[in-house]
Amino acid sequence: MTFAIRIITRSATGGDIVHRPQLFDADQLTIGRGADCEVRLPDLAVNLRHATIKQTGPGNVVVEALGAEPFEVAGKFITRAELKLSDTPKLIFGSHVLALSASDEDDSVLVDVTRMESAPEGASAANERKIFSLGSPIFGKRPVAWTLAVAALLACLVWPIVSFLSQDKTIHHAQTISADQQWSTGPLSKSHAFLSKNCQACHVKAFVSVRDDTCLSCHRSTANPEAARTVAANERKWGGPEKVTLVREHAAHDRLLRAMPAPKDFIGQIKVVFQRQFDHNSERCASCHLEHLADTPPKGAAAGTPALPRAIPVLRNTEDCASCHGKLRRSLGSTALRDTPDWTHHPEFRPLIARTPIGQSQPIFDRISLVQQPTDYTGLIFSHKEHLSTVGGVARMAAGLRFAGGALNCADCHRQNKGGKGFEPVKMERDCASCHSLAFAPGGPDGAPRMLPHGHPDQVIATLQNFYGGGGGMGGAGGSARHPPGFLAGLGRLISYHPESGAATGKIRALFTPKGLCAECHAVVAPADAATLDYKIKPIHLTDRYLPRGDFNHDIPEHKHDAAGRPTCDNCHKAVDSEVANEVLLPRVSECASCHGKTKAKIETAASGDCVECHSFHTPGMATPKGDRDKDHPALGIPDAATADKTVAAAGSTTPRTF
Amino acid sequence: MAKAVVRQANRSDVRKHTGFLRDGGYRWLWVALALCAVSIAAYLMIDVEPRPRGGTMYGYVLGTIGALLIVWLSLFGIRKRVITNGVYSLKAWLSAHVYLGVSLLVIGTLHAGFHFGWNVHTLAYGLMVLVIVSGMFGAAAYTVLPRELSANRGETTQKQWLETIRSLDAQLRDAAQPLDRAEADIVRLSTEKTDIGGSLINRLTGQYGSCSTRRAVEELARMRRSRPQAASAAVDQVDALLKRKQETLAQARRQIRIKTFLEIWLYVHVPVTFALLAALTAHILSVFFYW
Repeated sequence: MTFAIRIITRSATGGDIVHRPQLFDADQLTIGRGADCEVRLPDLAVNLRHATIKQTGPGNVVVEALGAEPFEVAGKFITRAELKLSDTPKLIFGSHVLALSASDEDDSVLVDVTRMESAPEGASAANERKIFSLGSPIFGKRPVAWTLAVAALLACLVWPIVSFLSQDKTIHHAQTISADQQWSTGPLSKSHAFLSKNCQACHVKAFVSVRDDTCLSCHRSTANPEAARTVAANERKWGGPEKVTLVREHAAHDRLLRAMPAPKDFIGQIKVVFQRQFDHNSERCASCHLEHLADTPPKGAAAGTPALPRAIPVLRNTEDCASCHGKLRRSLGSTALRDTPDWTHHPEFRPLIARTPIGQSQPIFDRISLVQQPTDYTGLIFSHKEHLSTVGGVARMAAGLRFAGGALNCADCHRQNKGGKGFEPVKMERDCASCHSLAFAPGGPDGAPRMLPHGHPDQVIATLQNFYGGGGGMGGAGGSARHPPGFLAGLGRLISYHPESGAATGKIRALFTPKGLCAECHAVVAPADAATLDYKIKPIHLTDRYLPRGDFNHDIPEHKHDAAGRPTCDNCHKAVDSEVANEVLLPRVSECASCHGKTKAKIETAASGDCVECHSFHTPGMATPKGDRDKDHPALGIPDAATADKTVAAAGSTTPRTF
Repeated sequence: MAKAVVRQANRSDVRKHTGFLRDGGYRWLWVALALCAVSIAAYLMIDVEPRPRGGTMYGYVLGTIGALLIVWLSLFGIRKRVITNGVYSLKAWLSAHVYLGVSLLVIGTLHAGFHFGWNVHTLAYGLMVLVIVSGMFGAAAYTVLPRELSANRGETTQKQWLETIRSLDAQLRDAAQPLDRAEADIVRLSTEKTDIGGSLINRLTGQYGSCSTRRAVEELARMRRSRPQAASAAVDQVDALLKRKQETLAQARRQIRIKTFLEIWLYVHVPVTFALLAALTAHILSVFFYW
């Protein structure tokens, strides 16, 4: 039995060096690290005496481990193996491979010993960077950097934009989270909080600042019924929790922009250049009404300020009234408004006057300055002087009718409206008829006298024709009722002027003659054909509000009575000297200035001369509400500006009555 | 000739070494301080209704300055790859990078008007703060640690330590040849399983509690106590070699720890800068998208 052991080593150039074989003429060989082994493997993974290899027959060997440690054959770790040399088996001990084969020349067993290439040692110079630098134990900087950057871009930019582009612009309340919420710079005010997940309700177009049309789609106050229906539909669609405050635009956008003065400072001018460049001008709703700031307490907030978030968007005034209205003519070129740099330069009041109403169903109105002492067409024959005189027939009649103090006073005919701010329109039946009776005969229902219908000449004629033509007359039914002096006077006049007439026609003609009952107050138009009874009354109108663009509250104590509590109507309205109805009994602006704009040191009833006392931005005919708007807002259960809007809608209109 | 002059100048620069913080007589420190002072003064003087914020004139100005600074500071990653001298030397750039970077903390905060929320805008701010704080850590590390690094290294180099360890391993393997299986396994533990650098925690703490060489030393000591009869010259030699290896490892690992502190902040600084640039893009675009 012979074993030939060949050691094969790797040369520096990579080739194998096969050392001369060592021949052992023995039955078996010992494999191990020990010096006494025939096959010596200097490998600490190998036992001192690891295994034996024994030839059991021609071409057959048995390999047997000497200890518990196995060896590897064909991928298996085993302690005993019977092997055929014809299979050229390979035994692996630690890092050494023993390839067995039969010699071609004789029956000896060839054992080729090679050392496997091992991975470079941990401390090899190649690993220096890996060992001393941080590269290996944590993720590399670049992959982490790119991952984070891409993740941030996807989450914070791509996702919201995709969601913006893909969503239809309708409501999506159901969504628990919306992609673009992360873009919000702060909480919305309570009144808009329901839109928090609906960024696109206001931010309609990408890269376009919030437009007024968007705000007005819910907030527009309009007289156009169709537009009003659209606004109401929008309010329902978005479903806000509270009543929407309706507003009007102060002026057209281009005029607003043109009217705004250029800033005087350099930085302000740069700002305007940028604003114009980026279409982010400061005339927009959103320029003054700032959202996403509801968590900001009001400046100098102290105890008692409303809890955050704020009820309504923060209001920031970008301009004051005078900065635009001071030189409006110059900036706008043409405007109906007078320049008002401050209160002391407030133009004289220009009441809304009916110019040419006679014979027209729709009178034409014009604003005419009090300086021109305009006369208003009322269609009435009326003397304030006569009615307010303390002597004369009116005073005596008033005394007879138990009016306090004998003579009439303003409040006997002019009644304050609900709230006391203004007055109800004068109504003949209520405010005049107690003296100017329309009774013409006894025998009315419930013992009252028979009354002519007011306001309808044709009915008056029909009533008299019916009464007298039907056999009525002085001795008609009734007659036992007591009547006020007016009734007797009117009746007496009716009879005394035409004592010879008993016919209806005579009564009617008497009524409409220049000295008849109707003509006391009205201009009568006689029939074109004298044979007919086609009498007409010239149209009248009573102006509710002469100054539609300014507010005045009659109910303010300083406005309505003096320190002693006496009414002060005649301080402003010189009615006691007015003999004709077409006089405009408005005070001059100087009358207001006797208190407004003065100091307490000068006058006890001094008041502010601010524009906001009588005007407001969105409803110029209303004074600006005072106090903290956050507190006053309907969201907090306090009356709102919607009623103000109605007042403005009514302002400027008069009550034309056409006969 | 000109080259020679330059070389001469360089040499003199090297002799009079000043750190990046002092470069140019603290030039960039003063620039940064001036920038902060102007920003703070303007912030206090400009009365913004209802509160200072990014969407005002002043806010846009600060935001623009801040964004440009961030982009410029990020470009240092490219700039640092080219080493130059002079007023616009890499050192001057680094000095500007550090001081202007820290001033960004003031500019960013004033731009935000001290107002934060759960949104992309505050995300960008938070990332910016993270980048700046990690950068401040880095600047501090580079000011203090290089001295310790060279003190620890003495006259040796990293390569020499590795060579020593390799040589000790070879000696250990040779010395262990006569040892029996159990003893040889202890040696293999050290030669095959020792991880010089170790994990991030090992590197940061400098604690290598489960170091294989240390375990090998302990195991060998235990074995010698339990089997005094097994004592031999080979075992003594192995023991001595293992202890020498431990000393070399300790010194190398001190170096690794210092270098870890010099490098670790960059693993925050750089990736978070990328995230910041992305968040900044989202911040700017979103503001104008929903203007």
